[in-house]
Amino acid sequence: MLIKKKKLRINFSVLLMLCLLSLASSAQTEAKVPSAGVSGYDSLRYALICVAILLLFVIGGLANVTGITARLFVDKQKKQETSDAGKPVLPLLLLGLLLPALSMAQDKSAAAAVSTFSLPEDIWFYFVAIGVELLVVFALVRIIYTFTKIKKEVVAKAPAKLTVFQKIIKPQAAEEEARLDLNHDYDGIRELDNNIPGWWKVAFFATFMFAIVYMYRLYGSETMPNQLQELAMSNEAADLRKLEYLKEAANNIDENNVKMLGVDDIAAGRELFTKNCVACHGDRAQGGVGPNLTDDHWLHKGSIHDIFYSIKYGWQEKGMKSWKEDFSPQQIAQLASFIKTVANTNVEGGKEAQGELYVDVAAVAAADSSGSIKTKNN
Amino acid sequence: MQPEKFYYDNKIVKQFGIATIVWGIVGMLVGVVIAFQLAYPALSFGIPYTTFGRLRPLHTNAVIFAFVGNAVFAGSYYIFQRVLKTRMFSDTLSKIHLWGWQLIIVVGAISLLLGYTTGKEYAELEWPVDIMITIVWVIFGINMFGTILKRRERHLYVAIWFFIGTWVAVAMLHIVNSFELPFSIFKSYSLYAGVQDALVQWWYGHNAVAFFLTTPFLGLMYYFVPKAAERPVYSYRWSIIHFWALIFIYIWAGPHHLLYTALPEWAQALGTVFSVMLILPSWGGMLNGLFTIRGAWDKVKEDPVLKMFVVALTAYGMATFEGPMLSLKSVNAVSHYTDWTIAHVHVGALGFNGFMIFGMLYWLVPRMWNTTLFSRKMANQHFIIGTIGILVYAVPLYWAGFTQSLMWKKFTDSGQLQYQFIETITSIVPMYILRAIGGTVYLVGALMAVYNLAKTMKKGSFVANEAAEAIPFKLQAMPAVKMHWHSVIERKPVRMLILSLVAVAIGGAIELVPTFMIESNVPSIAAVKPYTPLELQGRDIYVREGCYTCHSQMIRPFRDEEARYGEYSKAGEFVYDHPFQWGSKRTGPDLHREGGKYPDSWHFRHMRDPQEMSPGSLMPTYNWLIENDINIKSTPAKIRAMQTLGVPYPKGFDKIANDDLHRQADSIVAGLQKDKIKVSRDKEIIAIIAYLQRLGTDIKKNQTTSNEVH
Repeated sequence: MLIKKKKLRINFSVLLMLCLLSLASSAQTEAKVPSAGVSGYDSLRYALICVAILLLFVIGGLANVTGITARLFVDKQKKQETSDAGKPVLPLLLLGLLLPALSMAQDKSAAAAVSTFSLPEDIWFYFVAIGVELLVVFALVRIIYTFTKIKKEVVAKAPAKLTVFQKIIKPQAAEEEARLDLNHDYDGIRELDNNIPGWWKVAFFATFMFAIVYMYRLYGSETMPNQLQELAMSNEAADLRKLEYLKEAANNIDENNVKMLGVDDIAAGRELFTKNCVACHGDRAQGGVGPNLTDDHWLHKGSIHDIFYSIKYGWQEKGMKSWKEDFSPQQIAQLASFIKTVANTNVEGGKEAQGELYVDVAAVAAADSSGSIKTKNN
Repeated sequence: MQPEKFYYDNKIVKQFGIATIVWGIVGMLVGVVIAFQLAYPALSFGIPYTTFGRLRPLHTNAVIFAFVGNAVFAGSYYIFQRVLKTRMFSDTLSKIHLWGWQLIIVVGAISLLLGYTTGKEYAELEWPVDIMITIVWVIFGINMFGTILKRRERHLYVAIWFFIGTWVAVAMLHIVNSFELPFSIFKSYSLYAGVQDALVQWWYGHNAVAFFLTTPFLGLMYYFVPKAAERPVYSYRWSIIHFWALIFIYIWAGPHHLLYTALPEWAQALGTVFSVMLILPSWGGMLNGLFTIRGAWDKVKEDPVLKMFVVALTAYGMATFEGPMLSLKSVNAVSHYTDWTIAHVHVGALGFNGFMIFGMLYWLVPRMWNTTLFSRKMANQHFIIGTIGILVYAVPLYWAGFTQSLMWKKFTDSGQLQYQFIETITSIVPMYILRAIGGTVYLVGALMAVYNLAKTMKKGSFVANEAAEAIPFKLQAMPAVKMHWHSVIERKPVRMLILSLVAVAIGGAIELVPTFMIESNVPSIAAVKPYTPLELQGRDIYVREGCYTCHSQMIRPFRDEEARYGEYSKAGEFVYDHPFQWGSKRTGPDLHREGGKYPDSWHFRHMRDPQEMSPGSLMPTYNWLIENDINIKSTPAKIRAMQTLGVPYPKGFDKIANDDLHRQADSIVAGLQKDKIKVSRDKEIIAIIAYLQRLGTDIKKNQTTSNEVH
């Protein structure tokens, strides 16, 4: 009877493990279909979140029950004062009283995990969270059993089956220890011949299974992408997202259609300049490693379109890097607009002129037509 | 059947113990200093010997080889004699071992400060020190096996198995990873290049953790935990299975340090799966230790020794669970190159190694001085302060690691990187300050231990030679009962040694040999050419200053890294890199495609004053590069060494290498002059600029260039 029960339990663990593995495989397989990726995950993701939340409720309920049984247990203990069970049970009791609090903390962290991660990897985090929750449920049930002494009746018949906590804390009975003693004596150290816990063996076996499945998926079934496929997939997904975004956002400005922006954007441009450009162009755009931006000479022409182009693509050989991975088109337009406002202001201490004299025909024409400024016409 | 009388040598244990304490304080102090330097770069004081790049290897080497190393020797010399029931094989060898090891530490520390480094993490010491280490390690081995062979105990106790495994594996790792070609009396180039060097190095690096920080500590655990708890070891058969599983599986896991790099993916996959398989063997050790304390938990409440052991074993369990998790690709994608790794290793180092050592010393000293601990209360306070120190150290670093990694990977909706690299670092500086405080708190605890142990020594009287007696095992009757099959191996130490060697050699051989022999593992790229003499000199300066402690040279195939640094790194780009400089941490940005990103004048100013070019940067100044001359006398020898290693410089190139060097230097000087920077062509700054401007540019060039060095 006893043996049969043990076997059953091992089978159950293996089953559970296989379930998890197959779930994990399906999650990754879906990852392989890049364009469908986002929506393909979602059903799995919602299912996992539902399970996680459901388990949290279960934990909450069990935690309450644990609290109650723990209190009842204390009362009972007080009644039978002569009992010697007090010592080993005390830490267990503490744990029982603490667990409701712990499980609340668990609630919070799980909720945080749900909200912060939007990466496809989050699937794994849900698995881990659910795994942890299952462990907590398991532990709570064991503790409740101990407190309610349901165990005791079984114990009375069969040899004692201790909980993990008791196993760690309670010494083995003297006769049991004598039976297990191997009669080794190394400088007074004795060795017992206790059995290796079953769960340890099962878990060790499970890691072997993990290894086999992992290698099979990478090189056998090829359902797990290699690192370059992963890169291609994430780039493809990102390009799609970007395209979608640009369709809606008024952000598809480029060097051909960029226009001078207003005061607010120029202020934003100034801020970007202070954060990113002053190292080379100086805090007042007077120049340094890079050229002076406040004079009327330009290495690569000075219209708003030219400046936008220079920032976007850079002039690598002259030390100006490309900023298109750092700034959005809108931000580049803000920067270019800001630079247009400081051009020709000739701040003091500026670096000597580089490049060619540039007259912005469009700007001059605009100024002429408004009649506000009379400038030299070449 | 008269028992023989003999004496245990306590003096050697005492000397190693004192060395442990001294180097422990030194190593931790350097750790605290560099922790503060990370928050306040001005603490580098603008001199070469006190910059992070040189102090960080000093810190890691001091705590691993000096603090932990001496502790292992102290503990193992104590244990050998007692569980083998004999004095050490030779007092002379013990002495040579002791003083040889201290000499290695001193020479190693000085050479690291002077900038003599191989540039390979945890194996930084240069070739003369490597030879010294080999000699002393062999002496330790002879002394250990001599003792085992003249034992008065028929079977070897589990602690001894772990020390045998340690000795064999460390010897193998150290020798294979230290193959290097000297070109001067203090400097050498690694025999391996690029991907292969990386694989060997991390096979070594990972297993230095396994066989220098873990297996000997399980040896210590199997003696001191049952002794302190006065309880029998929980399960003998568990010891057997977790010992063999641990040493066999551990050796395979090295490539998990190189996930998503240019290392062939089959090797990466082996690293991942073997790391996962390591969880249970590691936990076997932890649980067998904790279950041994079963029945003595009432003592844990009062005894600081047991308290420390319990926390140490728990920390071991946590670290050995976290490690395999970090070896999963999806987790590693987030954790690698961040402070998460640093937090992880310190849970192991401060929690497991540190507390095992302090617990051991609190147990050993009163016994060898024949007295009781000076203040049990103080030891308990040390326990609490140390635990708080670990928490204050680790938690902020985990936070910093997540924060930085998530910032790196964050894109705006319109598809640009959200944060500049510098923003990801300035945002975690507060965490660095907290971490430094945590480290200081731990150090304060260690100083309390020093005081407490010194007072204990003063109080007692040292027993240099402790009397003991035992019957020689040849005269002992074989036990009548049927014995476990494994006891056969325990009776035969040489067989055990050979079996251990086989167990630890298999994994390494299967991973290393194909990477070396099969060409497809490192596809070559025709455009990749050897470094010019000036760039080679610059590269050696890069290695000397320990730039790899903060900068990686390995762009992983991720969208964010390609956007930030450029095309992902290919295996074929590193074929002339002796040693590889991939790094393992990004306190600064990746440099693999640094070439051509900024003008020469930017680099010049940045080296002189990093904050000028990059406000908020944590990099210290390297202004001595502007003053120091390039050691051009060494150029021919360096070129010849590289030729020996297979780098295709033309024949006789060593003789004209310096002309080439000057030509290239002149052109850089001329360019700088245009930007109003005056510097002569023989300064080190020119060489390092040349090297940085070359980095990662080869594959961008047309493949039409001739075979000659340009």
